Amino acid sequence: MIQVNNLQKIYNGTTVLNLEELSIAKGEVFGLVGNNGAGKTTFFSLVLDLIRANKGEVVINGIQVSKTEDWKELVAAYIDESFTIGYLTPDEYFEFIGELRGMNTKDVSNFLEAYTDFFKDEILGKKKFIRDLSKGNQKKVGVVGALLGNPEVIVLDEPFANLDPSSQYQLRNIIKEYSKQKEKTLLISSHDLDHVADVCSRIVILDKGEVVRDVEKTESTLADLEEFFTGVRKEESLAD
Amino acid sequence: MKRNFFYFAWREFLRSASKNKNMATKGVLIFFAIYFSLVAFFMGFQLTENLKDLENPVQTFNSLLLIYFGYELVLRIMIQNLPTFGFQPFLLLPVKRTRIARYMLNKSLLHFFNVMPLILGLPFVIRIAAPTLAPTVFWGWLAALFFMIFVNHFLALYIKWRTNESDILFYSFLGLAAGLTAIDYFNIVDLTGGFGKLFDFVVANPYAAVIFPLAIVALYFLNQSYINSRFYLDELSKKKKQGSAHDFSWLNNVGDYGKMLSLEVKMIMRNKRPKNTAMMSVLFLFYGLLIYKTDGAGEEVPEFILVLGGMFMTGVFSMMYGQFFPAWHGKYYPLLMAQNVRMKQVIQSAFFLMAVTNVVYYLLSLGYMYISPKVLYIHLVVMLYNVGVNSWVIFALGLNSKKAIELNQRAAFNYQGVGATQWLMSFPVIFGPVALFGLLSWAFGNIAAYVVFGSLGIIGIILHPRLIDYFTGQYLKRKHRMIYHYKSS
Repeated sequence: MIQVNNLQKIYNGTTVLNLEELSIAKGEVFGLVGNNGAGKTTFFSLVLDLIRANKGEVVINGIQVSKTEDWKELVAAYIDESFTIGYLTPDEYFEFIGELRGMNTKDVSNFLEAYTDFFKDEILGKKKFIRDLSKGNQKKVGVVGALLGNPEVIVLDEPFANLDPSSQYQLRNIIKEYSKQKEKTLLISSHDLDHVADVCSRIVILDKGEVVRDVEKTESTLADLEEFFTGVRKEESLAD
Repeated sequence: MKRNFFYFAWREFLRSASKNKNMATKGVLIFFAIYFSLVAFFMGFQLTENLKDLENPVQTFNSLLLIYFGYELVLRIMIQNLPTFGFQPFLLLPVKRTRIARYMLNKSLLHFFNVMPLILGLPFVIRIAAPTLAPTVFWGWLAALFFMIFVNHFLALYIKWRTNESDILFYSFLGLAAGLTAIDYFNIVDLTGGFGKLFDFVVANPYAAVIFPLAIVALYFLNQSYINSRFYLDELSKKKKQGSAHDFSWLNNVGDYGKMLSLEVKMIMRNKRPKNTAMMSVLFLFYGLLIYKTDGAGEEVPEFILVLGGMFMTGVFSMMYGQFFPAWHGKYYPLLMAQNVRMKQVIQSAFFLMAVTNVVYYLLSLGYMYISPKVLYIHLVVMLYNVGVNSWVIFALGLNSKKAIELNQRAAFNYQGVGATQWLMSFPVIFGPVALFGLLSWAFGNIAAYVVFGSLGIIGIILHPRLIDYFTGQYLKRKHRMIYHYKSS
């Protein structure tokens, strides 16, 4: 689904991302972990053609993203607050995104019904602009907006950050539920190893812009990840 | 501690992240300050010339004061900033709130509005008041005048705090100001005279000047207690409002760019700055009243002036809105670039919006036909030129857009997001075409010039599908740069 060839991004002489070759298959839930400055957001921005690569290309479904805008029909994303529109109410925002994705009002409200619990009565039907919502609620709006309209590829940068514990848990389930529809490809980054190990089918560790680990998820993935980042391996008995 | 507050303010100014950008803007502001000071100075001299032969110049001067201070008050409320500084970090520190409040009020005194009346009044004070009034009287009168500036200052601050809390208060204040002006203008009650009498009274009893400092103290404490009672993050810095509901969904049906168009209209109607801009553009429709004047009966307004006025009045919205295209959407530009909306739709919707407002403003400007019937076709020609040529010039200038617009600030005298493009814009968009018109009409006559202008406009309109494609390509080419600049602005 997504093919990355020889992708390089350089800022002021420092290579912040350098990916020889990376391919993400249809139906994969691709988890990206790494410390601050590892290049996660840079990678996602390149996938979405928000920044220009110094070298190489990203190809989504045969479409080179830097050449045309055709990939936009396939992809949706939530990277940061610039992906929501502050002066709209959440309902209008969903309506707007829905229209861009060819849905009518009825489709949109049907879709949103599934997220009633996640929104906890604080978001829908309130006459409050997105800019006046709390950070966590803004994030919820953005993330659900990215799921709207059945895109093939969904890119979520740090979707769990700023959410309260129960919302984090609900979001996990939402992502798992969504990824059960086999044709959807999700790209998710997070600092929280637990979340990534839980929802992703494949996990890539980035360090200083390079892929240092690329594994399918197994039973021991979480322990491996923690060992990589902390240098300490947890006792197996504790992991149970 | 007070010294420390100024120390922080100075550091804030020196170290602000956008310092270099601000420096250019500051330079322009300083230029304006000097310019207006000079204007004030010469106006002061002019005033002296006009008053010096009168029987009692000081009394006449006094009777003019209300007009000055009244306008100044309204102007201050419109454009003077409230003295909010970054007080949040201090709230938790062992600093008395009163102290912070006083600092905020004291700092606000450093304002151009408090200097300008001094410059304006200086020639009169030196040349007329000083020689004619007895020393004690003179000093009392001068002190009253001087303190009146600060009475106005704190009064404006207080009214501004209050009117910031509710739109109703704001509009009722404007209504009141307009009402008082009307009452005075039609001589129903002689307000200016009454206000002048106050100063005449000071001239008669110099010690009465002491009421002005008392008024200052009272207003100062009023402001201070206002700030003190609202020392909460959510009360002092911004007002929250419920979203108003009109959703402009009917615009969605305009075409495949209709969704963008309805977003655009919501953006304008719901955010302070674009909304003010739109409202100001309506006010500019009255520009014609200023320049479409005839010296005597039977004389006609020069066609050249009609062209200039038409250019301005039919195109004012597209200019004021277009100068910040696409920076209006800067805060969520990445969304537009990654969601399923094409660049072409973004550009089409902006073009449509500008073209429609050009036509609407043309229709509104037809009111000037009662001054000169030629407005009908002259404004039509320049309107066509605005749609067919200037729209593209605006898009071309927008390619250099670098600073995202903070949508929730006021519009008047706001230099956030203003760059060289905005300063230079009036040349290709207004003065260039007007100069071209002048040249054409000088060489080939007015009719030929109109034909050329109208044809250029019509050609631009006919070619608009191609030109939209062209600019779509250009904007796509620069999208990475724009995203980068918007993020860092």
